[in-house]
Amino acid sequence: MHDVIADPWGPATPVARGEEWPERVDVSLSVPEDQVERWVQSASILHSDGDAMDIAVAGGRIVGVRGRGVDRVNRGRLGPKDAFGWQANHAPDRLTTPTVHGRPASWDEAMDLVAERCRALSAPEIAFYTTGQLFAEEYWTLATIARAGIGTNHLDGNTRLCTATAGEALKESFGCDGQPGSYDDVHHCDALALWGHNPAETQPVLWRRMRDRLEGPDRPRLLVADPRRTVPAREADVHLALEPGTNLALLLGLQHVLLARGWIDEAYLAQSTVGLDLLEAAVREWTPERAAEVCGLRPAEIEAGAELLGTCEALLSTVLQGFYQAHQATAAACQVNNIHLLRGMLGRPGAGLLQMNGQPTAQNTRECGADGDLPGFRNWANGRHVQELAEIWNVDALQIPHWGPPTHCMEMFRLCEEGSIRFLWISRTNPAVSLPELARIRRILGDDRLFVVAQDLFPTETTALADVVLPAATWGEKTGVFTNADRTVHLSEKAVDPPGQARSDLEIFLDFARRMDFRDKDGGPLVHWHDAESAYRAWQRCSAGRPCDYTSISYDDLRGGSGIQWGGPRLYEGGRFAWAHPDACETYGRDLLTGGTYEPTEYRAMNPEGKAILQPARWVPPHEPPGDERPLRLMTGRTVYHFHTRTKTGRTPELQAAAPDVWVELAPADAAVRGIDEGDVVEVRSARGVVRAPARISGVRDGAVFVPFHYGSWDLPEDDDRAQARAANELTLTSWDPVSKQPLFKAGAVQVVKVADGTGRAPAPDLAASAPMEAVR
Amino acid sequence: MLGITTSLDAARREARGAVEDLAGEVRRLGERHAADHDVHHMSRTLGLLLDEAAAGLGAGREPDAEREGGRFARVREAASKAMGSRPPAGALLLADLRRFLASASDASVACVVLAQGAQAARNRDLLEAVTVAHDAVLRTHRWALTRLKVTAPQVLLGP
Repeated sequence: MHDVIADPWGPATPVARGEEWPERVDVSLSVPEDQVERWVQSASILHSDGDAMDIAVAGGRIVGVRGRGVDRVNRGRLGPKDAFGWQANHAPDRLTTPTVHGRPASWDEAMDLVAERCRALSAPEIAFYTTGQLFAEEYWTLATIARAGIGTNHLDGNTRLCTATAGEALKESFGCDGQPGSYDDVHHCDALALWGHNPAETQPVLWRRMRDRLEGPDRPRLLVADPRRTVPAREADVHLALEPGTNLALLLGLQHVLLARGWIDEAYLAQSTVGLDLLEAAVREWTPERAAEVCGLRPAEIEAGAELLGTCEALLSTVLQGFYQAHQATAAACQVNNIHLLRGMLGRPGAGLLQMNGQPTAQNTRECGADGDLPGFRNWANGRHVQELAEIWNVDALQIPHWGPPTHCMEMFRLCEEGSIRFLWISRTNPAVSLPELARIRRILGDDRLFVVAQDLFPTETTALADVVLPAATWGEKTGVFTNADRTVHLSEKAVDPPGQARSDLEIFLDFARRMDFRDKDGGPLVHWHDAESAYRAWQRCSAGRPCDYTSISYDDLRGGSGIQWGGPRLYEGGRFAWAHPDACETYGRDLLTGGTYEPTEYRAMNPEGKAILQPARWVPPHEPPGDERPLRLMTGRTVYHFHTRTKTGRTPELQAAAPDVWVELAPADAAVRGIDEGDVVEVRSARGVVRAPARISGVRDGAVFVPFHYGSWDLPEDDDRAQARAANELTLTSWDPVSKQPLFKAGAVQVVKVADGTGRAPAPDLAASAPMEAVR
Repeated sequence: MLGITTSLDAARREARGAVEDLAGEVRRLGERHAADHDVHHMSRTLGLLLDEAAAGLGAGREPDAEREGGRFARVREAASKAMGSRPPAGALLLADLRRFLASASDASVACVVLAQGAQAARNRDLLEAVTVAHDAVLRTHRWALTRLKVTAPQVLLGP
């Protein structure tokens, strides 16, 4: 295949509107192709795109991957992480045996201790913190154990950090989670809007698809809202490089113009929505001038953006972390939904909306109820939904916690800090690098009052603080199903055995359930499944009749061909929003400003027939505005070569070499006044901590600073003085969106000072958003 | 303590005072629970919202010196952060939320009394102002009630 490090997006295959995306099968092998003994079907777990691929096996080892040309998601294409990330499975430092307080132990010893600690505690003292990288069968099993077995309200996923706002924004606008749009909409739209979404780095194959339309004969117009000069921003007709913290103000301004110009679909609004009068009142004062002033833009830019949105025939919007991890996240993401409702841009080819996911299996975390909702998108405040679940589990409905919203991860860590939670089981995530304000997180995890179980592939900054460490099997070493950001379900089959004594997360959870002897109300085993496929069948039954209904998608259906979308190509055709009905909806809603929950009767009065909800919102200034001492705004984010805390990609030679160490991006003007040149060592200082790294003078907006969040300390020498000055989250603020509870990684004030002359260029990739300013001017 | 209110202006001053006091109280709640980030950040947003709502109700009392923060506020925040990692923090929050909700209810009733009077007096401007103020109070009440519902089970059944 092409050099996917030098060109992460690969050769173009331009397409016209309405045309199918051609196949382009990429193959990445470490041995000659004729030595491959078997190809095993799977899809990527290093981003949310779900690029389908076959795993090549030779001599009992994974030797590469090949894109699946037949699959609707990537038509054979692979991105850099797809092509090389599999090598991490073979890293020499994989965990291969359980440990108890640092010494090797048998599975029996470790799991007996875990079960014994649980039995000694009451349900509110026990918490589970999982990920967006397990398979559906595993989340479903974990949700069953936590909700019906233990009966604790404290179960959440690190999807809280990446995709919680997507779910909440969909629920607030449409009554229920579920992506309205489809990747096919890229081929039918005549306008594309990327809201805080940089697909060139988060989902390189999706960006290839978009760019193939942009390079085709009837290019859609492109709007990008992003403070960085990303690759899509450079291609955009309208790039709104707004100040961090002002997304909501921008969207209020855009809607003001849409309404003032009459660029709305009145018939659609009358038939399919509620709340137009409140929305009109909320945007009335947001003239382009006012919005431009708050956002640091020119009024003409707001007008141009509104004109693009207001005059197209078929608009596709995508939204991601630039909105989800920023101030007033849910309120802002809901305004994008509003625009689609105002213009009737849903439920037909090209008129689509994707509130994106950040992680490969985040969709399943949400669907299976492992991240703050009940399984099957059920509403904790709806007694009938809880009763249904009680019947599926065959337990008393009172056993299932539903006195309030399930505890979100930031609140769980707060309760650990208080000493109110005493047992925390962390599966496959690395909070000691990924959560905000790391000094605090390390203190919490290191507190003797808290018993920490960590289940992972590698030693991490988190396993270092755990009482019990469990070695887990991963992708390619176990079987299961997962679902991408456009509802495409893939089966990932076991290709090779896991190393040493490592076990799949499913086996570990099943073992725990046996030791705890969880029973249903008739005395039968609560967890009555024994492997991936039987777990999947139990999950199918739970999903029946809900929007994410998997009953018609079996393992066999998923074998051989393309992945399959649940819910069909697009939701909400014909302007019908059945899941917004008071009896069906996943939430009765929250106040977007405070997160206060509405009562069922209030929702019923507001939306008796189940229509889409236009959500008004009120912009307020960010919690930690820049000031004299810390005049710059911090944003953290990712690069195309790495995933999360680099546990896998940092152990992949090509990816690690492409982005070997942390850097700090500054705008030319901000660098100049501080006497900072490319490669100079700088310190970024916040009220919480410090990061020390070389500077990259990039196309980031004036007044904003970007630091990639991938770099913890696991690959530093033990005595390295950067151990607590390398991770971006040393700097971040403990603060979250009031509705989605997503931590705000793109908030907080910092100062940047030069501490030493550079010895060369910053270790930042010279392409994509981190490209040096002179390359993108 | 509620007085006997017999004129529209007295009702206005009473409502204004109640909303203003609630702004002060929500800030104090945020300072007392500075280690609880949700309460801490949201109390500031709600404080601003309530200030704005109170100002809309016309002239009131002199500004409360303590409202601007100052020495007492810093002491409360420091005390919260020091206390914040011990178990009673949740119980204290629950108790404070209960008291706070009672104040929010009082402020809500004061707004209702004023709104009824404004309507009967056909005073459109006052009616609009009190509607805005009442919305801010109800929003604050809803937020505090949601917090209380989440906090209570953990305090009552936790360690």
